[in-house]
Formats: sequence, structure tokens, C-alpha cells
Amino acid sequence: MKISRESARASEAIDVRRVAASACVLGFLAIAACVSVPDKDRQTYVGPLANGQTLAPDFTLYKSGPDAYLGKRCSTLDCHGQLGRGLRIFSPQGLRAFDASGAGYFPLTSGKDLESDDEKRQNFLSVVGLEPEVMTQVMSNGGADPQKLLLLKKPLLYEGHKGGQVMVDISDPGYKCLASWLQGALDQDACDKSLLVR
Amino acid sequence: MKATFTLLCFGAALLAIGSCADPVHDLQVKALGGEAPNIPAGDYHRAGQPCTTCHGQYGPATKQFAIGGTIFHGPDKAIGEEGVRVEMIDATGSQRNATTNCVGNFFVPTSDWDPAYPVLVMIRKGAIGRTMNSHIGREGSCNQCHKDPPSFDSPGHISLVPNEDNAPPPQDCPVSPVASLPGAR
Ligand code: HEC
Ligand code: HEC
Ligand code: HEM
Repeated sequence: MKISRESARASEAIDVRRVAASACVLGFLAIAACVSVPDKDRQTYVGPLANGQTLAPDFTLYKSGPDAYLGKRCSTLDCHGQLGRGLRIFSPQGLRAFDASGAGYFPLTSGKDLESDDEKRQNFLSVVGLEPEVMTQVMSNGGADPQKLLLLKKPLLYEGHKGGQVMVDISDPGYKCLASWLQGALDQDACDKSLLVR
Repeated sequence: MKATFTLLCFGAALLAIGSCADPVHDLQVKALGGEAPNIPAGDYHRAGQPCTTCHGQYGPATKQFAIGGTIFHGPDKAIGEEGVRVEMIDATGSQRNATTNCVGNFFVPTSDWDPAYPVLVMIRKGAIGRTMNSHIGREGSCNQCHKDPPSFDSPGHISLVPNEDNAPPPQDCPVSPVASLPGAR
């Protein structure tokens, strides 16, 4: 009697282990089932739209206002004029660009030479490339809601910013300059005024 | 007894952790090296170095500066310029002036000023005045940006005259007014 009771207990124990094991396997299967199968038709499109336009903000407009504002207000050597910054701005009164094609690797001196076209282009890439997905979202809505971008959230202090509040609010000429640029109709007057603000 | 001992150990461990909380700052201080021979730690020491790296909230100096730096005579040689008035104005219009000593050093203690950045500066001596066109965004040490030699990330040390005129060093300075700056020409 005693033996059979023990064997019964043993077989119970085995059963419990089996159940646990199958539950485990089932669980893994369930998790595996939730992992989506790659969709070969789904892709992220990078490049010009069918009509030849792109979703990137305009570079020519950038050069005639926003670049000077960012250079004046954000780019000092103790702020965004640093190679380690996500938003890295070159400017004549701050950090100068690396140029592998020139006579020296760093041909320009801080505080001396004028801003080169290459520096403006690299600033543009830094601004546009800071948050590529949000930038694309904003641009696909014609530049509506630019406050979605860190580029404006940080200086407005909508989000913590070591550089503090650089723009008073959305009536700030600097804000108007950047927002109107993203909307494709540069407010040149605001951009000019933004350079007078300290 | 045992509990007290455990508490003591715990406290000591916390202190130990606290004292080396910022290895980056420790390295920055170390990189500046020891004191120059014959120049005691004080008003005349470390001309050309970023004062607030040490005279800031993390030490090692006890006296904290809001702003400090060094003005030299010409752009090439690192000879201190005495009696330069450094005029500073912050975003709220609050102003402070400081005057350089014979090695070119000046500072404004935090007990005297807590500027709201950005800060604009100009320097003046006699008929000569030079204005920094850009502003200071948040750095208390002029010399953090103004390093030698002028380069892609620095305009070079601050000088009163724009071109080197080989003026003689100031006389009667308790220490040598000629700084040994790495990279100075
Ligand atoms: C590498 C660190 C370091 C740097 C850089 C540095 N100091 Fe100091 N300084 C010290 C220490 C340590 C003392 C010792 C006294 C103390 O504890 O305040 C001191 C003392 C002083 C004192 C005397 C303070 C008092 O209590 O009366 C003055 C003034 C001073 N320094 C000015 C300067 C100026 C101006 C600069 C920049 C040109 C500068 N220091 C850069 C570390 C530094
Ligand atoms: C954030 C970096 C930075 C800090 C900090 C800084 N400067 Fe400058 N300074 C520059 C740059 C870059 C230039 C050259 C472009 C310009 O004039 O704005 C300059 C230029 C100057 C000039 C004009 C030189 C000329 O060629 O005419 C003076 C004078 C000057 N600075 C003084 C100071 C003093 C004094 C301090 C400290 C109170 C200081 N600077 C702190 C970056 C800085
Ligand atoms: C209109 C001017 C400015 C704009 C558009 C701007 C925008 C931004 C953006 C987008 C970021 C996040 C990306 C990054 O880390 O680089 C950022 C961070 C930062 N900014 Fe600025 N900034 C401006 C002015 C300044 C100024 C004047 C200072 C210094 C006084 C400063 C200091 C910093 C620092 C230290 C960070 C990193 C820490 C943080 O995210 O808060 N910025 N800023």
C-alpha cells in the first residue's frame, strides 16, 4: 500500500512538470505569434516625391534668415558651438567647420573668417537631421505645428533646456523666423529683427 | 554598538561616493596641472587658465567666481595687461566692472553677482576699447573659450591691442607677468 501511494505521488509530480512544460511551450508559441511577419511592401521612403519635390525644408530660405539667427542666438562655443551637441551650429563667432578638401582640416578661425557656404549647408543638415521623423511629420503638414520639434520646444522651454528660455513665446521674432521657414514662406522681417534680440 | 558601526560605515561609503561624484570635473581640474613655481595660489596665479573650473561649485578652490579671466597685452605674446576695466552686463541689465591686476587676472565673486545669461562684455583701458561681438551663453571663464592658439574652436587669448607691438611687461609685479601658455606664439 505504502509503495503504491508513493508511486501515485511520483506520477502526480511528473504530471505537474509536464503541464508546466507544455504551458511554457504554449506561451512561447503565443509570444512568437504576436511578432509580426516582415511586410515586404512596407518601406520608408527617402527622397524626392513623385512631383520632384522633397519633404525637407528649403535650403535657400534657410540661408537667408534662420542660419544667421541660430548662429547669433544659439551657437556660442559654450552652447551649440560644440562638436558633441545634437544640434551643432557652426558660426563665425563660434565653432568652425572641418573641411577635408581645403588646405588645412580646419581652415577657418573662430572670430575671424566669414561663414562659408559649406558651414551653412552643414548647419542645415544638423537642424533637419536632428529628429528626421518628426521633421518629416511636420513638413508633410506644410510646417503646421512646428512646436512638435525639439528645435522649438527647447528654446521655448516647453521642455527642459540647459540653455534656458531663449525665445519669449511664439511671438518671438526668432520663433517666427524658424516657423515661417518651415512653412515655406520666410518672414524676412522677423528674421532681421531676431538678430537684434540679445 | 553593532548598529552604530554599520551606520558609520554606511555614512563613510556615502561620503566616499559623494566626493568623487563627478569624474569629468576631477579630470578637468587635473588637466590644468599644479601651481607654477614661485606663484602662490591667489590673485596672481594661473593666468590664462579657466578660473571657474576650480573656482566653481565643485571646487577645489573655496572662493567661487561668477566670472573670471585674464587680459593680455597683445595677441601673440602672453604678457599680462594691468588696469584693464572689464565691463559686463547681463540679460536683465545688471552690470559689473572689474579691473585686471599685473598678470592680467580679474574676477567677480559669486557673492557679488549671479548674472542672468547671456552676458555681454567689453574691455577698456585709456583710449582703447574692445567689444566682444557675440555674447557669453553660460560659461563663467573667459579663458575657457579664449585659448591659445587661435583655432577652429577658439579666438585665442584676449588681448587689449589687436596687433602685437612688443610693449615691455609691467614693472613691479610680485610675480612674473609673462604667462607660460601652451600654444601661445
Ligand atoms: C586648477 C585650479 C584653479 C584654477 C584654474 C584657478 N585657481 Fe585660483 N585658487 C585655486 C586654489 C586651490 C586656491 C586656494 C585657496 C582656496 O581654497 O580658495 C586658489 C586661490 C585663489 C585666490 C585666493 C582666494 C581667497 O580665498 O582669497 C584667488 C584670488 C584666485 N585663486 C584667483 C584665480 C583666478 C583669477 C584664476 C583664473 C585666472 C584662478 N584663480 C584659477 C585653484 C585654482
Ligand atoms: C563662449 C565663449 C566665450 C567666452 C566665455 C568669452 N568669449 Fe570673448 N570672444 C569669443 C569669441 C568667439 C570672440 C570672437 C568673435 C566676437 O568678437 O564675438 C570673442 C571676442 C572677444 C573680444 C574681442 C576681441 C577682438 O578681436 O576684438 C574681447 C575683448 C573678448 N572676447 C573678451 C572676453 C572677456 C573679457 C570674457 C570674459 C568675461 C570673454 N571674452 C568670454 C568667445 C568667448
Ligand atoms: C534659439 C537658440 C537655441 C535653440 C534652437 C536650441 C535648441 C536645442 C535643441 C534642439 C536641443 C536638443 C539637442 C541637443 O542636445 O543639441 C538643445 C539642447 C541643449 N542646448 Fe540649446 N538651443 C538654443 C540655445 C541654447 C543656448 C543659448 C545654450 C547655452 C546657454 C544652449 C545649451 C544647450 C545645452 C547645454 C543642451 C543639452 C542639454 C539639454 O538638452 O538641455 N542652447 N537645444
